[in-house]
Amino acid sequence: MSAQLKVSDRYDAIVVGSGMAGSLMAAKLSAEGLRVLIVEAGPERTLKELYSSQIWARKLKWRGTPVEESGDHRIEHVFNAGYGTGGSAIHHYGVWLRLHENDFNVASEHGMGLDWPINYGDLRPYYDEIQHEIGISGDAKAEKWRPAGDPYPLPPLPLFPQGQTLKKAFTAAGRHTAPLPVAINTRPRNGRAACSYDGWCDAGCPTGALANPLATYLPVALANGAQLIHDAEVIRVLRDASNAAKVTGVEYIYAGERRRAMASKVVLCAFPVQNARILHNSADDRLVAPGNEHDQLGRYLMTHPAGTVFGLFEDDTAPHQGVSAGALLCHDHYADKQAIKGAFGSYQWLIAQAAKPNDLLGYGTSRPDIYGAALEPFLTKAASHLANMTMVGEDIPQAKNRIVLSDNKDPNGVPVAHASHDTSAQTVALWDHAMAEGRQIMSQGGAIETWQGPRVAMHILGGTVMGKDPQRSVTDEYGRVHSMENLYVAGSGLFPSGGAVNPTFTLSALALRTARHIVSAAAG
Amino acid sequence: MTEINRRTFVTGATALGITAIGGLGTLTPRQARAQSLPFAALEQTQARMAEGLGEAMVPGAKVAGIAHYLDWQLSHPESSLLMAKYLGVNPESQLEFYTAGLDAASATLNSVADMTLEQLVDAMATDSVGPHWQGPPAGFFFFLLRADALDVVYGDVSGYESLGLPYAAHLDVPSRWRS
Repeated sequence: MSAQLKVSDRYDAIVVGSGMAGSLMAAKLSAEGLRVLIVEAGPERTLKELYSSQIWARKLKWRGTPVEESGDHRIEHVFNAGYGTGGSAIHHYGVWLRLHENDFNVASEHGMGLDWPINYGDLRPYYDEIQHEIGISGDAKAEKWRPAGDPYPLPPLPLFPQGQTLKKAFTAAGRHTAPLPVAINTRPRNGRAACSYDGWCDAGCPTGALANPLATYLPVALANGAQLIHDAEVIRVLRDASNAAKVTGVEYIYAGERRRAMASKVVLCAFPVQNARILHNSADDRLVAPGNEHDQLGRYLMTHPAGTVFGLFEDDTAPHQGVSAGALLCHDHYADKQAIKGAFGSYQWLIAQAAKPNDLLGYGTSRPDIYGAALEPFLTKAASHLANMTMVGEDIPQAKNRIVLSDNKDPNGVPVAHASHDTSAQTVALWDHAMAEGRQIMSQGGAIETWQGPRVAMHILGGTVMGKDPQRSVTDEYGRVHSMENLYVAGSGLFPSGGAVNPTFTLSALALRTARHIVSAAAG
Repeated sequence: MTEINRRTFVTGATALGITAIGGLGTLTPRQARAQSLPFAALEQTQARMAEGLGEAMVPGAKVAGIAHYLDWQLSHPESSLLMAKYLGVNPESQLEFYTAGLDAASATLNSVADMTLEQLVDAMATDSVGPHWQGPPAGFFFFLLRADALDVVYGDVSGYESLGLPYAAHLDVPSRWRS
């Protein structure tokens, strides 16, 4: 779609961002006859330019207005966010897991952070519906920890040698594994190809086997008549001069100029930091920022503390085979969030990721202590005998972790976002425990050497959290900003707590629920 | 949406392509070095230090064109592909970061009697370079430069083949990077 597309005078809905939440939202609203404009901050991308290269893949990561970061566990915005059509979902790995029932009430059950305003039962129909549309592969019966839900429509991923080696290791350690459920076609389905298991998911999947927005909801939205403009960075929502509880559209920067688009409803579907920035920037001399009437906007910023454990085995593990997400899942430490002394939270193991030698997650980069003449023998060994698996842990929602506006401004004079995030001693203890466990599992499985990567920030959550109490949240259970009649937020920024599973499936289910609510409200 | 199968595309070629100055077409960093293309961002001493450090960290980096790779990325911050951006070094500040690191390496090497390049790399790896290092944290600079060298040597088809790996691209990298 050309960036020169003429923007009409008025739309039924403006969707900010073309990532997973935005493309789904646009598809669902346009399917009901709403005139939709999608405003994407980044450049246009197509499947035909998702080149297989870890180096080229860096173009898919955030390149918009820089985000300032502080804290002892920074959110790593550049790595986690996306830039351009499809947003971060272009480079996401396709791990589509449901939150567990015990993820929705961490405040009332454990005194940690916030409860969700809804429970698993409220979301289940939306998980099931999206799962049918997208086509998740997996084995629901083998996931003995899985909450109630329809079986997966596609058979599980094949288990390549690395997965077989680690499956034996987990079994030897008394742990249960199941095929990792992924939004990746294991068979051709709905016009999308089957995966060829060459591990290029991180660079974006040009075949459409992995359910990125370019292969799923975005074409539907466009076919329904939605319009999409690129290189247009929304900087604030516009409010009705006679009714501060109502938005009339958005202001955006295009080619250095400030422009406006008007609509009956606005849905912010950008990444969590940018959604919060847009809302903060919408304050003026007369009005507080939407959602910040009780000083809650930007609070409860979260990430998933994560870390990768590596091992070298005598087995030929062929670690280049498979998908970037991994092959197996272990949720043995999910049900009891207080099982580990001094720690809090669930965690999961994503097991047997297809591995590459270079880039931030590559095995060459994982051993900075090896260089010079020792490097090539190590890489050659790892190319055939490496195994790796990633722990994804639960963050504790803390009000002090927050997205605010910086005193610094971008070239257009708009304040940039500042994201501060500290971890807690209990989260560090959880991560330390899991890393030690992972290395022990590898050793029990026959690894001749193990090592681990650093604690990293995987995913970005919170900042515009949903809740029942307007004094402790930004939106209601449908993502409608509490103080506003027609302004909504979608995406993982809504999560009041994050569980320990990858967020894309849940944010998609929430977006579908919001879309239905908007359509229902529009119908009166 | 058009369905694309990776078998449709040809695998291979210039995963690290550089557009040559003067409209000569596209070159890999290795080819750019072989043709002694002039540097746009780095000074000659900085380029030599990048080659020396890169080679000491990742053997093969010198002839693979580490200096020309860095020079291309640093002179095109609007489309920089350096891994540094993941770790807080924004593209707009990468030139200053890299030149400061390379200059600090030169200063340290010139100030410590009998210090070899390999010894300097050892000191960088352990963040124990001493007071002559006036630049970004040496360990951090080491980590990023080593990662860049890994990109140049092992991040394309020839690098994979050297490790006995199939590259198996879904979609081959074009001869010229696009922003």
